[in-house]
Amino acid sequence: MDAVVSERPAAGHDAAAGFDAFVAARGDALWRSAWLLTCDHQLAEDLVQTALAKSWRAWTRVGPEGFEPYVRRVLFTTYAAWWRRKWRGERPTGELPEQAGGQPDSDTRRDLVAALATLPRGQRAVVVLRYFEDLTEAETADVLGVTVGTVKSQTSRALAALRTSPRLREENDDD
Amino acid sequence: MTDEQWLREGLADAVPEAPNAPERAGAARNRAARSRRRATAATLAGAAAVAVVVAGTALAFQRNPDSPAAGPAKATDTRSTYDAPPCPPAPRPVPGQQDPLDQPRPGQPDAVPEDATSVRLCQGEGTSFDVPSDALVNSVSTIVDEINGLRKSDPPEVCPEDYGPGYRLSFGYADGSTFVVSGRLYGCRELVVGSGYRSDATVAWQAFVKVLRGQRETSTPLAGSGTVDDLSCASTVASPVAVTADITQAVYCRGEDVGVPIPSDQLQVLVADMAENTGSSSSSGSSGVLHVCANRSKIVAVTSWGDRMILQGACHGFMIEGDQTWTPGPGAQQVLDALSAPGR
Repeated sequence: MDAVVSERPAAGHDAAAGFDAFVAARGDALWRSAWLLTCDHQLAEDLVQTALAKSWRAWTRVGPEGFEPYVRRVLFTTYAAWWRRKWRGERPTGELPEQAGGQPDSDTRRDLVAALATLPRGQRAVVVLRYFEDLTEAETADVLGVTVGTVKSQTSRALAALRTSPRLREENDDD
Repeated sequence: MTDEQWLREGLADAVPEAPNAPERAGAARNRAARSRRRATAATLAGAAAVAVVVAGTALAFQRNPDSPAAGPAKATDTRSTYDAPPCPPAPRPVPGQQDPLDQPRPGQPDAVPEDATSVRLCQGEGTSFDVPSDALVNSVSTIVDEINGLRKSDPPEVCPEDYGPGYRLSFGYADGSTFVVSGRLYGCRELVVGSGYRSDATVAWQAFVKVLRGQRETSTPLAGSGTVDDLSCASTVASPVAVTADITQAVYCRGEDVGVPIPSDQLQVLVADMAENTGSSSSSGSSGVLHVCANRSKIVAVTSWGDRMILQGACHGFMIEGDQTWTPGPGAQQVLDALSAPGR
């Protein structure tokens, strides 16, 4: 008996054009979330392209309206999978691999990102979704495939950790 | 300024400008194509390997293909992708005796230990279901939190005399140890967690199903899992995690014995229609009136993950695991009519 592939990439030019337009419009926003998760330009680009490659097959099934939440979910779950499988060889560090340079008050921002980088991955993902992507608790739970209760507890722990982060405390002490 | 406002503004300011990447979409599509070519090659190689395993196993063992332990046809024994400890042996029904794994174990904690790295859904004491081949390795802490957040309860005393599936969740740890939680989706629906009881088992079951489905959206099934040689109308077990969008092979059944393999092009029509016309059974228009239907047809299917599905014919369409009803649209109905025509 022949097998059926349930998710099939659209073969037509329309699908490719629609996908390309989506990436042109929203790719940078996805990259910025990916950068906050990875703190690295190249890893962020790799994460975005991996998420887009995984999602492309679902373009016709999901449709343009629902595609961004779909890609976002794939991006965050791929990020979690990278950590779990330790493919990327990333290790905890006290120093940021990169910083957002060229802007005023860059020390403060660098310290915030450094503090963010010390959070456990689940908490970091919740912080990015809640406070960078501005998703609700329910939307965050849906993206991560967890319960709202988990989002609440992760958020609470993350905020507590950031409040007591040595990097941010030093900054406050300096004020 | 609150912590949350400060964090919002800080993050927005901290993120650098995205690099100019005009080829991002094309690169992603090329990456998807390469991945697909690799998967196709692996499928061909895997299908050959599975055929050899199935043939060899069929000679060596005479197992019931519906049994959750009858793994080789699903290629479960070769699924090492997730590197999780296997399920404990399914309980053997002995009148008046209960498997120790399904009873409280004094001396153990009454909560699931933290830091689990995997969790598998396994057969417990109750009716059989099709055990998923893959383990959960992402968001395992969600399941741990969900169970440890359940209310502790006394030993069950007076329970409804219904019957349903029993399950186990086997948590794996980095040191190779396991911790098994046992739940019943019948009776008092209690969950045995180490030395104590919690209520209720349905919550943990539903959480596992939801999170495993989420993990599958970004994972790849083992090559060859979506094609089996023993798809039978006599099949009685179904997977709790399978979804119709993943169906890769199916037979249309008139009664228990007569099965018509559904050609791939027609199956595509049906699967697409299921995506469009499936909804909650409670909203499928039964109006609370008990209808007696003569619809004995059903569809027995397997998914790309090797899960078995049974879509049971009902008054308004086909009932799907998880309180869902598929009401075929005109195009799908045409396919079903052709499949059910005498002489097929």
